[in-house]
Amino acid sequence: MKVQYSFLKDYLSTDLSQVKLTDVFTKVGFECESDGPIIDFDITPNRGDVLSLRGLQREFQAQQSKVFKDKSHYKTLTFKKDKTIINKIDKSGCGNYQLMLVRGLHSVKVLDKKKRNFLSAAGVPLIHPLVDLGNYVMLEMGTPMHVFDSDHLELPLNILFPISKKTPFQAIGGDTKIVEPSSLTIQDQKGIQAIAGIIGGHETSVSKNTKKHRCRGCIF
Amino acid sequence: MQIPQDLIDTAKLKLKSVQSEAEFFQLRSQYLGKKSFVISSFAELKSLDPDSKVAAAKELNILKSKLNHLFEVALEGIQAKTDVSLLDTTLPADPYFVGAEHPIAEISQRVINYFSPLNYQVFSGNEIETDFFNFEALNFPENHPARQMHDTFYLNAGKKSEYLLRTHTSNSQIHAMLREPLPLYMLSPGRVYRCDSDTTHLPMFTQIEGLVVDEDVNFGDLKGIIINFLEYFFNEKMEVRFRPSYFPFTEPSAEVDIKFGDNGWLEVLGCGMVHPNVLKGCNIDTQKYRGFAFGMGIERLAMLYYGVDDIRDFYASNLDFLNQFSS
Repeated sequence: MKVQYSFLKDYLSTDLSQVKLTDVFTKVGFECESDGPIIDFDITPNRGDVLSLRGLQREFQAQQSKVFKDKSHYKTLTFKKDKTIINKIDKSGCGNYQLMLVRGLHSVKVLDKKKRNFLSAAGVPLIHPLVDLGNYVMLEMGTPMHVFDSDHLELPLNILFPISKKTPFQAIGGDTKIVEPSSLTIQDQKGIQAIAGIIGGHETSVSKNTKKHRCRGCIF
Repeated sequence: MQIPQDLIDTAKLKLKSVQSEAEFFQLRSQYLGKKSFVISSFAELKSLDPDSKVAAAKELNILKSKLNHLFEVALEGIQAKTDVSLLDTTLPADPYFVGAEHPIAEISQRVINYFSPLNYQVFSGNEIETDFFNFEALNFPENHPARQMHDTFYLNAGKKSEYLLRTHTSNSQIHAMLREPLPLYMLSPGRVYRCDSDTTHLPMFTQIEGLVVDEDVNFGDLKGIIINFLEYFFNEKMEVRFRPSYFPFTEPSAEVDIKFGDNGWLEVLGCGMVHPNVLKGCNIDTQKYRGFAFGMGIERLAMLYYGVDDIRDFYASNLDFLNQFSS
């Protein structure tokens, strides 16, 4: 995971130099290397919980013997169950899955420059303000987020785990992947539209011209 | 009677390639022995008319005396070569190259020299290994992301194969735990393979794995032995730190850094307490026995020990480089 030092320093509210900050994380088990102003964290496979800004913050504050202060801003939304939108969730693979329809996107405010720079440093391309926002939330909270183009989605969705057989799937960018039966998939009435938490489908991917979106967030 | 004209020339040519006296006498009997052309031709003179007989006998005598002279001169030359009395003992001797151990072999031996007196047995494992011994038995389930840490060379590319080139020497742990009686103190040096190559990584490199399974071992024992080993190896008091890390087959796991002059902390090895799943898989009672394991890259130790910057130098077969280590 790559994070700019200047961004992380503000996020963690610390005055430590880049060298000292990388040393703190290395000492607690997250080896990191500096490439100019960017710190590259080597997160071990058993610590997926640290693959986010909030995860790094938790580790840093624990090392500094400080009480964890959540810096995220929340706004509570009320969700309702609707079988015409999400029909089935295989609970053995997915704890929670929510979908939100966003309409009438004539002008969307782009992310502020600091956050856009953060995404670029992390190696995430800037695509569309809503996609960028989803990617930012994903990297801040460690929760997979995806934005679908609503015009190409045939509801209701099924979140299925496992699937019956190997299935070809055209991922964002146009590459065809073979989805293993052990994968958690998001399927609409036409078939697989995303491999959960990994990559979305080409057909429902969002471009600059997309007018309607569905955002989803989930806990696996 | 027809006498071949090139007899003398071919004899001269053959004499040039003669190396020893034995070869010389064999060649001389071909040209001047009883069955040779010259001698057998004398016997045929009887059947010729008197005039031809005189001319042919004259020619044969000339040929015989030329061959005799040729072989006499050649014999002197050959004997002179082997005559000790003609050796010039003041000539400088040809350079005599003494072989030496490769630096990687020397470093491996240095590590073994520390652990052998502590009753560690040395095991050599298989370089071609099954998926079970390299991953499954070491608590790497199929599709686990930890497998991505090992850039594995699978055999039979393209097809899903059970066989692979081992990515670490930890496979020997499993073989030893399944085969040997407890308590077990083992060391396993050997080559391992990963699909990676740059100034600090090679597709083939050397590791040494250590494993202890006994009733009363704990992380303190592991720390003690690692610190003591590093001080023995580098021959000085070392500042050592243990960093938390992750290996599927040990829990807790740590990586060990040493303070190395102005370069700050440098990672030298990985270690940890053997994961109970690994012990259970080898039919070991985890209520009674515990284990610790450690593994180190020999090339990395050699780079630190000798101050070499590029790992590829060890395998470039450059004698100027390698001769620096011969003692």
